[in-house]
Amino acid sequence: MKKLLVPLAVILLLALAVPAAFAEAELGIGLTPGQIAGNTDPNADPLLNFHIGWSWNILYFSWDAYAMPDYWTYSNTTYVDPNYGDIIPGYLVPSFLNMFDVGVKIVLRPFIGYAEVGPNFLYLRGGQSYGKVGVNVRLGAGVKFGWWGINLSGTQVFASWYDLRAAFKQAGYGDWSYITQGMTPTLNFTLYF
Amino acid sequence: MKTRKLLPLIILAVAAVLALSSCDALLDGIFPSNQISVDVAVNTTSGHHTDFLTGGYVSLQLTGPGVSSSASAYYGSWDGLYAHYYFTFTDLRDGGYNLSATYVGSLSSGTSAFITMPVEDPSNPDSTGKSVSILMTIN
Repeated sequence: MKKLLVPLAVILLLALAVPAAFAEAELGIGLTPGQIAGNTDPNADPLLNFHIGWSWNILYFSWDAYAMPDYWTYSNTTYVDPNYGDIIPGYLVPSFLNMFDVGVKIVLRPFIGYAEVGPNFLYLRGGQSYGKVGVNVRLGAGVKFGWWGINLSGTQVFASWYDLRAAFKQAGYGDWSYITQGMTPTLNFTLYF
Repeated sequence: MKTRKLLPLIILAVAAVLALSSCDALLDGIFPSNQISVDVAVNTTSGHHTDFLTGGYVSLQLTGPGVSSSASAYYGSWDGLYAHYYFTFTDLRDGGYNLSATYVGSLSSGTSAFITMPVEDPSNPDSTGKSVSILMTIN
Protein backbone atom coordinates (compact mmCIF):
# COMPACT_ATOMS: atom_id res chain seq x y z
CA MET A 1 0.00 0.00 0.00
CA LYS A 2 2.85 2.39 0.85
CA LYS A 3 4.26 1.86 -2.63
CA LEU A 4 1.10 3.39 -4.09
CA LEU A 5 1.41 6.58 -2.05
CA VAL A 6 4.35 7.98 -4.02
CA PRO A 7 2.81 7.65 -7.49
CA LEU A 8 -0.52 8.94 -6.18
CA ALA A 9 1.18 11.97 -4.71
CA VAL A 10 2.99 12.64 -8.01
CA ILE A 11 -0.29 12.42 -9.89
CA LEU A 12 -1.99 14.87 -7.54
CA LEU A 13 0.89 17.35 -7.75
CA LEU A 14 0.87 17.19 -11.54
CA ALA A 15 -2.88 17.67 -11.55
CA LEU A 16 -2.55 20.83 -9.49
CA ALA A 17 0.33 22.14 -11.57
CA VAL A 18 -1.28 21.74 -15.01
CA PRO A 19 -3.50 24.62 -16.15
CA ALA A 20 -7.27 24.10 -16.00
CA ALA A 21 -7.47 24.79 -19.76
CA PHE A 22 -6.94 21.06 -20.28
CA ALA A 23 -10.43 20.25 -19.02
CA GLU A 24 -12.48 18.61 -21.73
CA ALA A 25 -15.36 16.26 -22.35
CA GLU A 26 -15.39 13.19 -24.57
CA LEU A 27 -18.01 11.26 -26.48
CA GLY A 28 -17.14 8.24 -28.52
CA ILE A 29 -17.74 4.72 -29.69
CA GLY A 30 -15.48 1.72 -29.76
CA LEU A 31 -15.24 -1.60 -31.57
CA THR A 32 -13.99 -4.82 -30.00
CA PRO A 33 -13.45 -8.17 -31.80
CA GLY A 34 -16.59 -10.27 -31.53
CA GLN A 35 -14.62 -13.36 -30.51
CA ILE A 36 -14.00 -11.76 -27.12
CA ALA A 37 -17.60 -12.55 -26.15
CA GLY A 38 -17.03 -16.23 -26.79
CA ASN A 39 -18.22 -16.46 -30.37
CA THR A 40 -15.87 -18.78 -32.24
CA ASP A 41 -17.13 -17.62 -35.64
CA PRO A 42 -14.21 -15.84 -37.33
CA ASN A 43 -16.73 -13.58 -39.03
CA ALA A 44 -18.44 -12.59 -35.79
CA ASP A 45 -19.64 -9.01 -35.68
CA PRO A 46 -17.50 -6.69 -33.54
CA LEU A 47 -18.86 -5.58 -30.21
CA LEU A 48 -19.91 -1.98 -29.87
CA ASN A 49 -19.30 0.22 -26.86
CA PHE A 50 -20.33 3.77 -26.01
CA HIS A 51 -17.92 6.12 -24.27
CA ILE A 52 -18.38 9.22 -22.12
CA GLY A 53 -15.35 10.84 -20.55
CA TRP A 54 -14.27 13.92 -18.67
CA SER A 55 -10.74 15.02 -17.97
CA TRP A 56 -9.53 17.86 -15.76
CA ASN A 57 -5.85 18.51 -15.91
CA ILE A 58 -4.51 14.97 -16.07
CA LEU A 59 -7.28 13.46 -13.99
CA TYR A 60 -9.54 11.34 -16.12
CA PHE A 61 -13.01 9.93 -15.53
CA SER A 62 -14.87 7.72 -17.96
CA TRP A 63 -17.95 5.58 -18.42
CA ASP A 64 -17.84 2.87 -21.07
CA ALA A 65 -20.85 0.72 -21.83
CA TYR A 66 -20.08 -2.42 -23.83
CA ALA A 67 -23.08 -4.02 -25.58
CA MET A 68 -22.70 -7.74 -24.86
CA PRO A 69 -24.66 -10.55 -26.58
CA ASP A 70 -27.04 -12.87 -24.78
CA TYR A 71 -24.71 -15.89 -24.73
CA TRP A 72 -21.96 -13.81 -23.05
CA THR A 73 -24.44 -12.56 -20.47
CA TYR A 74 -25.65 -16.09 -19.80
CA SER A 75 -22.10 -17.38 -19.40
CA ASN A 76 -21.15 -14.61 -16.98
CA THR A 77 -24.30 -14.71 -14.86
CA THR A 78 -24.36 -18.50 -14.46
CA TYR A 79 -22.65 -19.62 -11.28
CA VAL A 80 -22.33 -22.52 -8.88
CA ASP A 81 -24.17 -22.22 -5.59
CA PRO A 82 -21.35 -22.35 -3.03
CA ASN A 83 -23.64 -23.98 -0.44
CA TYR A 84 -25.16 -26.79 -2.48
CA GLY A 85 -23.00 -27.05 -5.57
CA ASP A 86 -25.96 -26.53 -7.91
CA ILE A 87 -25.49 -24.65 -11.15
CA ILE A 88 -27.63 -21.55 -11.04
CA PRO A 89 -28.49 -20.63 -14.65
CA GLY A 90 -27.93 -17.07 -15.71
CA TYR A 91 -29.83 -14.66 -17.93
CA LEU A 92 -29.95 -15.23 -21.66
CA VAL A 93 -30.46 -11.61 -22.61
CA PRO A 94 -28.20 -8.96 -24.11
CA SER A 95 -26.64 -6.62 -21.60
CA PHE A 96 -24.51 -3.55 -21.14
CA LEU A 97 -21.22 -4.12 -19.30
CA ASN A 98 -20.66 -0.73 -17.70
CA MET A 99 -17.18 0.29 -16.64
CA PHE A 100 -16.85 3.39 -14.46
CA ASP A 101 -13.17 4.27 -14.37
CA VAL A 102 -10.90 6.89 -12.89
CA GLY A 103 -7.28 7.48 -13.75
CA VAL A 104 -4.91 9.76 -15.62
CA LYS A 105 -4.73 10.99 -19.19
CA ILE A 106 -1.60 12.56 -20.65
CA VAL A 107 -1.77 14.62 -23.84
CA LEU A 108 1.44 15.39 -25.71
CA ARG A 109 0.02 16.56 -29.01
CA PRO A 110 -0.88 14.76 -31.12
CA PHE A 111 -0.39 11.73 -28.89
CA ILE A 112 -2.51 10.76 -25.92
CA GLY A 113 -2.19 8.04 -23.33
CA TYR A 114 -4.33 7.03 -20.40
CA ALA A 115 -4.54 4.54 -17.57
CA GLU A 116 -7.64 3.85 -15.47
CA VAL A 117 -9.16 1.51 -12.96
CA GLY A 118 -12.72 1.10 -11.80
CA PRO A 119 -15.67 -1.15 -10.99
CA ASN A 120 -17.92 -2.96 -13.45
CA PHE A 121 -21.70 -3.15 -13.38
CA LEU A 122 -23.96 -5.21 -15.60
CA TYR A 123 -27.27 -3.93 -16.96
CA LEU A 124 -29.55 -6.69 -18.25
CA ARG A 125 -32.07 -5.94 -20.96
CA GLY A 126 -35.38 -5.57 -19.23
CA GLY A 127 -34.14 -3.20 -16.56
CA GLN A 128 -32.38 -5.47 -14.10
CA SER A 129 -28.88 -4.75 -12.82
CA TYR A 130 -26.46 -7.49 -11.82
CA GLY A 131 -23.47 -7.38 -9.51
CA LYS A 132 -20.50 -9.70 -9.21
CA VAL A 133 -18.84 -8.62 -12.44
CA GLY A 134 -15.63 -7.37 -10.92
CA VAL A 135 -13.33 -4.49 -11.67
CA ASN A 136 -11.19 -3.46 -14.62
CA VAL A 137 -7.91 -1.88 -15.59
CA ARG A 138 -7.62 -0.04 -18.89
CA LEU A 139 -4.58 1.27 -20.72
CA GLY A 140 -4.89 3.29 -23.90
CA ALA A 141 -2.84 5.23 -26.41
CA GLY A 142 -3.63 7.06 -29.60
CA VAL A 143 -3.69 10.31 -31.46
CA LYS A 144 -5.80 13.43 -31.07
CA PHE A 145 -6.35 16.10 -33.69
CA GLY A 146 -8.19 18.96 -32.10
CA TRP A 147 -11.81 17.87 -31.77
CA TRP A 148 -11.42 14.21 -32.76
CA GLY A 149 -9.10 11.32 -32.20
CA ILE A 150 -8.50 7.59 -32.46
CA ASN A 151 -6.99 5.40 -29.81
CA LEU A 152 -6.46 1.76 -29.02
CA SER A 153 -7.18 0.53 -25.52
CA GLY A 154 -6.62 -2.71 -23.68
CA THR A 155 -8.95 -3.68 -20.86
CA GLN A 156 -8.28 -6.34 -18.24
CA VAL A 157 -11.12 -7.49 -16.04
CA PHE A 158 -10.58 -8.85 -12.54
CA ALA A 159 -13.07 -10.69 -10.40
CA SER A 160 -12.50 -8.40 -7.42
CA TRP A 161 -10.50 -5.49 -6.04
CA TYR A 162 -8.41 -8.09 -4.21
CA ASP A 163 -7.40 -9.73 -7.49
CA LEU A 164 -6.62 -6.32 -8.96
CA ARG A 165 -4.39 -5.43 -5.99
CA ALA A 166 -2.61 -8.75 -6.35
CA ALA A 167 -1.97 -8.03 -10.04
CA PHE A 168 -0.55 -4.60 -9.23
CA LYS A 169 1.59 -6.16 -6.54
CA GLN A 170 3.09 -8.47 -9.14
CA ALA A 171 3.62 -5.48 -11.41
CA GLY A 172 5.57 -3.87 -8.58
CA TYR A 173 7.92 -6.82 -8.78
CA GLY A 174 8.31 -6.30 -12.53
CA ASP A 175 5.77 -8.86 -13.71
CA TRP A 176 3.11 -6.98 -15.70
CA SER A 177 1.63 -10.09 -17.27
CA TYR A 178 -1.25 -10.26 -14.79
CA ILE A 179 -2.39 -6.87 -16.04
CA THR A 180 -1.48 -6.93 -19.72
CA GLN A 181 -1.76 -10.56 -20.77
CA GLY A 182 -5.11 -11.30 -22.36
CA MET A 183 -6.23 -7.68 -22.41
CA THR A 184 -9.32 -7.02 -24.51
CA PRO A 185 -8.41 -4.65 -27.36
CA THR A 186 -10.81 -1.91 -28.40
CA LEU A 187 -10.47 0.61 -31.20
CA ASN A 188 -12.01 3.88 -30.04
CA PHE A 189 -13.25 6.85 -32.05
CA THR A 190 -13.63 9.91 -29.85
CA LEU A 191 -14.96 13.45 -30.13
CA TYR A 192 -13.53 16.07 -27.79
CA PHE A 193 -15.32 19.17 -26.52
CA MET B 1 -18.60 32.92 -21.48
CA LYS B 2 -19.85 30.83 -18.57
CA THR B 3 -22.24 28.99 -20.88
CA ARG B 4 -19.38 28.14 -23.21
CA LYS B 5 -17.39 26.68 -20.33
CA LEU B 6 -20.40 24.67 -19.21
CA LEU B 7 -21.14 23.39 -22.72
CA PRO B 8 -19.01 20.23 -22.45
CA LEU B 9 -20.68 19.31 -19.18
CA ILE B 10 -24.11 19.96 -20.69
CA ILE B 11 -23.28 17.75 -23.66
CA LEU B 12 -22.10 14.99 -21.35
CA ALA B 13 -25.19 15.26 -19.18
CA VAL B 14 -27.52 15.06 -22.18
CA ALA B 15 -25.60 12.09 -23.57
CA ALA B 16 -25.75 10.30 -20.22
CA VAL B 17 -29.48 10.89 -19.83
CA LEU B 18 -30.17 9.67 -23.37
CA ALA B 19 -28.04 6.60 -22.82
CA LEU B 20 -29.70 5.75 -19.51
CA SER B 21 -33.22 6.19 -20.87
CA SER B 22 -32.76 4.08 -23.98
CA CYS B 23 -30.74 1.09 -22.78
CA ASP B 24 -33.26 -1.56 -23.83
CA ALA B 25 -33.91 0.07 -27.17
CA LEU B 26 -30.18 0.25 -27.86
CA LEU B 27 -29.67 -3.42 -26.97
CA ASP B 28 -32.66 -4.48 -29.03
CA GLY B 29 -31.32 -2.58 -32.00
CA ILE B 30 -27.83 -4.05 -31.67
CA PHE B 31 -28.86 -7.66 -30.98
CA PRO B 32 -32.04 -8.65 -32.86
CA SER B 33 -30.68 -12.18 -32.99
CA ASN B 34 -33.73 -14.42 -32.94
CA GLN B 35 -34.54 -16.52 -35.94
CA ILE B 36 -37.50 -18.61 -37.07
CA SER B 37 -37.21 -21.79 -39.11
CA VAL B 38 -40.48 -22.70 -40.77
CA ASP B 39 -41.53 -25.94 -42.37
CA VAL B 40 -44.67 -25.57 -44.44
CA ALA B 41 -46.01 -29.06 -45.01
CA VAL B 42 -48.52 -29.35 -47.85
CA ASN B 43 -50.81 -32.24 -48.56
CA THR B 44 -53.53 -32.74 -51.11
CA THR B 45 -56.65 -34.80 -50.98
CA SER B 46 -57.18 -34.63 -54.68
CA GLY B 47 -54.19 -36.71 -55.71
CA HIS B 48 -52.34 -33.87 -57.40
CA HIS B 49 -49.05 -34.84 -55.84
CA THR B 50 -47.14 -34.29 -59.06
CA ASP B 51 -48.02 -30.61 -58.82
CA PHE B 52 -45.50 -30.34 -55.99
CA LEU B 53 -42.76 -31.45 -58.37
CA THR B 54 -43.80 -29.47 -61.43
CA GLY B 55 -43.63 -25.87 -60.32
CA GLY B 56 -45.93 -25.44 -57.35
CA TYR B 57 -44.37 -23.34 -54.64
CA VAL B 58 -45.17 -21.87 -51.24
CA SER B 59 -45.09 -18.17 -50.50
CA LEU B 60 -44.62 -17.34 -46.80
CA GLN B 61 -45.31 -13.89 -45.35
CA LEU B 62 -43.82 -12.91 -41.97
CA THR B 63 -45.02 -9.87 -40.08
CA GLY B 64 -44.02 -8.76 -36.61
CA PRO B 65 -42.04 -6.15 -34.61
CA GLY B 66 -40.24 -4.03 -37.13
CA VAL B 67 -40.39 -6.56 -39.95
CA SER B 68 -42.62 -7.47 -42.86
CA SER B 69 -41.04 -9.82 -45.33
CA SER B 70 -41.93 -12.67 -47.62
CA ALA B 71 -40.11 -15.55 -49.19
CA SER B 72 -40.89 -18.27 -51.69
CA ALA B 73 -39.66 -21.83 -51.71
CA TYR B 74 -40.08 -24.77 -54.03
CA TYR B 75 -40.47 -28.38 -52.98
CA GLY B 76 -37.83 -29.45 -50.45
CA SER B 77 -38.69 -32.99 -49.42
CA TRP B 78 -41.55 -35.52 -49.47
CA ASP B 79 -42.37 -37.82 -46.56
CA GLY B 80 -45.03 -39.84 -48.34
CA LEU B 81 -47.85 -37.70 -47.04
CA TYR B 82 -46.68 -34.11 -47.06
CA ALA B 83 -44.42 -32.07 -49.33
CA HIS B 84 -42.20 -29.89 -47.19
CA TYR B 85 -41.16 -26.35 -48.01
CA TYR B 86 -38.46 -24.79 -45.80
CA PHE B 87 -37.88 -21.18 -44.79
CA THR B 88 -35.62 -19.30 -42.36
CA PHE B 89 -36.03 -15.72 -41.13
CA THR B 90 -33.15 -14.20 -39.14
CA ASP B 91 -32.30 -11.11 -37.09
CA LEU B 92 -35.70 -10.91 -35.43
CA ARG B 93 -36.59 -8.95 -32.31
CA ASP B 94 -38.59 -10.30 -29.41
CA GLY B 95 -42.31 -10.32 -29.93
CA GLY B 96 -45.15 -12.09 -31.69
CA TYR B 97 -45.01 -12.94 -35.37
CA ASN B 98 -47.73 -13.82 -37.85
CA LEU B 99 -46.91 -16.33 -40.53
CA SER B 100 -49.14 -16.55 -43.55
CA ALA B 101 -48.44 -19.33 -46.02
CA THR B 102 -49.93 -19.64 -49.49
CA TYR B 103 -49.46 -22.56 -51.83
CA VAL B 104 -49.37 -21.47 -55.47
CA GLY B 105 -49.80 -24.11 -58.17
CA SER B 106 -52.49 -25.66 -60.30
CA LEU B 107 -54.44 -25.65 -57.04
CA SER B 108 -54.03 -22.94 -54.44
CA SER B 109 -54.62 -22.75 -50.72
CA GLY B 110 -53.51 -20.80 -47.71
CA THR B 111 -53.12 -21.01 -43.93
CA SER B 112 -51.51 -19.07 -41.11
CA ALA B 113 -49.79 -19.45 -37.73
CA PHE B 114 -48.66 -17.24 -34.84
CA ILE B 115 -45.48 -17.72 -32.80
CA THR B 116 -43.62 -15.69 -30.21
CA MET B 117 -39.96 -15.06 -29.57
CA PRO B 118 -37.52 -15.14 -27.73
CA VAL B 119 -35.54 -18.33 -27.48
CA GLU B 120 -36.56 -20.71 -24.71
CA ASP B 121 -33.50 -22.94 -24.56
CA PRO B 122 -30.86 -21.24 -22.39
CA SER B 123 -28.91 -24.49 -22.04
CA ASN B 124 -27.75 -24.06 -25.63
CA PRO B 125 -26.38 -20.55 -25.85
CA ASP B 126 -25.61 -20.91 -29.55
CA SER B 127 -29.21 -21.58 -30.35
CA THR B 128 -31.07 -18.52 -31.44
CA GLY B 129 -33.70 -20.30 -33.42
CA LYS B 130 -37.19 -21.45 -33.07
CA SER B 131 -38.87 -23.93 -35.36
CA VAL B 132 -42.48 -24.12 -36.37
CA SER B 133 -44.37 -26.38 -38.72
CA ILE B 134 -47.39 -25.21 -40.65
CA LEU B 135 -49.66 -27.87 -42.09
CA MET B 136 -51.71 -27.11 -45.14
CA THR B 137 -54.09 -29.21 -47.19
CA ILE B 138 -55.11 -28.26 -50.69
CA ASN B 139 -58.20 -29.73 -52.31
